[in-house]
Amino acid sequence: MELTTRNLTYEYDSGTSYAKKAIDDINLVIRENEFIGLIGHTGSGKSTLIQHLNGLLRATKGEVYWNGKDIFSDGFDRREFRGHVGLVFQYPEYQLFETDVLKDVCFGPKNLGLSEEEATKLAKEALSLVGINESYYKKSPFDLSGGEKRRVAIAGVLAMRPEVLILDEPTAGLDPKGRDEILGSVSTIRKETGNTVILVSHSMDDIAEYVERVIVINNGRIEYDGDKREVFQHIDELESMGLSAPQMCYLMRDLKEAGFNTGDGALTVEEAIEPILDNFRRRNV
Amino acid sequence: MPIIDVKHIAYDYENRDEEGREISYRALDDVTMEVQEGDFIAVLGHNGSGKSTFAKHLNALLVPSEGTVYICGMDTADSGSVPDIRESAGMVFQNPDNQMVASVVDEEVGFGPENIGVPTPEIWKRVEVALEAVGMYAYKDSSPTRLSGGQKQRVAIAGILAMNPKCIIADEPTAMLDPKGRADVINVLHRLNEDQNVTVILITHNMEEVTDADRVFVMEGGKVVLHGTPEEVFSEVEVMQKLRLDVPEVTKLAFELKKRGLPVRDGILTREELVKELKRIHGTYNA
Repeated sequence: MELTTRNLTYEYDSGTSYAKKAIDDINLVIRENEFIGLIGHTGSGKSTLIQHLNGLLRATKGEVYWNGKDIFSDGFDRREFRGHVGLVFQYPEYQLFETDVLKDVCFGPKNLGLSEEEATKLAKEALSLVGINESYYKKSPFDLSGGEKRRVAIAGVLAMRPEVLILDEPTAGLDPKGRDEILGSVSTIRKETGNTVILVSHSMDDIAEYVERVIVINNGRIEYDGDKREVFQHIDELESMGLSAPQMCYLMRDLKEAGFNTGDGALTVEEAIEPILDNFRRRNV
Repeated sequence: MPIIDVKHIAYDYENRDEEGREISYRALDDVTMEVQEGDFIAVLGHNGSGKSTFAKHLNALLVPSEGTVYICGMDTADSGSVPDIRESAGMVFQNPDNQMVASVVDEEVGFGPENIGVPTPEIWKRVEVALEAVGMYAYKDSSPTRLSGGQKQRVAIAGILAMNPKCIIADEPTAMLDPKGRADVINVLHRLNEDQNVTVILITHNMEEVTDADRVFVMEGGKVVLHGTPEEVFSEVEVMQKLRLDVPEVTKLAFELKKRGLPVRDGILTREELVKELKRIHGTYNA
C-alpha cells in the first residue's frame, strides 16, 4: 500500500478576489501501518488536505496516487478507493441515521456493493474492534452516550476495511476517559489489522502519546514531517504557528535549564518518569 | 450577597418511551453552589455528568424542577426576571459557528444590546469597548465567517460583554479550538475576571485550563462530588481518574514520581511548581 501526493495544490474561490490557496505544493508519501499525526492551526489546510487523500476534493494542481495510479485518471474506481481510504469526519455521530446500530454500520460495506451477509459480518467485526458488543446491535444509535455514538460512527468506516483510516479530531468534546477509549481502540485496531492511521488533532498530548510520525501544516504548506520526537523539539517554531508542544516537552526544557539531566525527547508522563528519577539516583550512589 | 446562589436544585428531563409512557431522567440531583462576585469557577465532569444542564440553569435557559437558583438576587423561576437575568449572566457555547448571526463582526457584537433597546450611540461605544477587551477590534469590519474558531469565540465573548454582564458562563468554549485559540480564549476570560471583576464559570474537559481557577466543582451523576481549590481537587488523582476525569499532566507526573519514592508534595499544578519542588528535593539529597 502506498498513498502519495505530488505538488498537491488547492485554491478556493479561484479567479475571484477571495482566491486563497488552502493547500500549496504538498508532497507526501504514506506507507503501510504508519501512525501519523497531522497538526496545524484552524484554517491551516488540514481538512482540505485529508479530503484530497480520499478523493472528495480534486486538486487545482498536482495529483494523488494510490499504489502508483492517479486517482483521477480514466478508469480509476474511486468508489472502491474510498473503501480503501476511509475518512471519519469531525463529530461523526451527527451522521448516524439508521434505526439500529448494526444497520448503521452495515451501510458502508453495502454501499461498496457487498451482500447483506458479508456486510453484516464486516459490521460485527468493526463493532467488536471499537468495543461495542452484541447487546448494542438492536439499539437506536440515538440512545447511546456521546462516546459510544462516536465509536459506532468510526465502526461504520472501519467496516469497509480501509487500509488507511483518517480521523478528523475524533476526540473533540469527549471527556478524558472517552478520549482514551477512542484513541486506545484506534491504536489496537492498527496493531491488529495492520492499517495506517492518520490522526488530525489539536491535542499535542494525544499526538505525543499515540502517533509515531508527525506532519505539521501551516498556511497550506508542510513545515515539518518526521519522527514526533524530532518535530516536537521545535517548540518555538510550533508556537509561532499557533500550535504548541506536549506539556512534558516544556517541563523537560525547564528542568534542563534548572540544571537537571533530562535525557532526550520525553514527550509523555510515562517517558518523563525515569529520566527525572535518574537525577536522584546518581546523587545517592 | 452571592452573585450566584444555587440552593438544592434538581432537574428532571421528561421524555416518552415507545409506548408513550412518561419517563423522566434526573440530570441534576441536590446541587448547591454559592459564587461570590469576581470569582473564577471551573466545573468539571465527564460527558453526561450534568455540567451543561447545570450551566443552563445559570441564565434561566432551564428552570429547576426542585430548589431555587438566584442570579444577582433574582429567582430564575420568576419569568418576569428572565430578561434581567440574561443581561447579568451571558453564556458562551462550544461551537462558535452556531453562535454567529450577523454578517459583520461589529454588528454581531451589537446584536445583544440592540435587542434590549440600548440607544444606538451607546451600542457602538459598547461594541468598541467589548472588541478591545477581547483583542478583536482590528476585525470589527470583517465577516465572522472568515475568522478562526478562537477568534469567533472571542467575538462571541465580546457579544456578551456588550451586555455589561456581571457573569459569564462558558460551556466548553475551547473544545473545538487549536492550541493558540484555546490559550487566547482562556486568557481573555482571566483578564475580564481580573480587570473588570466579571464572574466566570468555566466548564471544561481540559484540566490544564483549570489550574488558575479560584475554585473547582466536580460533577458526577448530576451531583457535586468534589469541590475545593485546584490544589485540593487535583490532589485526588485516583478519585479524578475514577470519575472518568484526569489531572493536569504535571500533576500526574508528580503523583507518579511520589509513587516511586520521591518525596514530592501534593497539589502540584504547574511546571514552575514541579521544577521548584524537584530542586528542593535535590538540595536535601545533596545535604
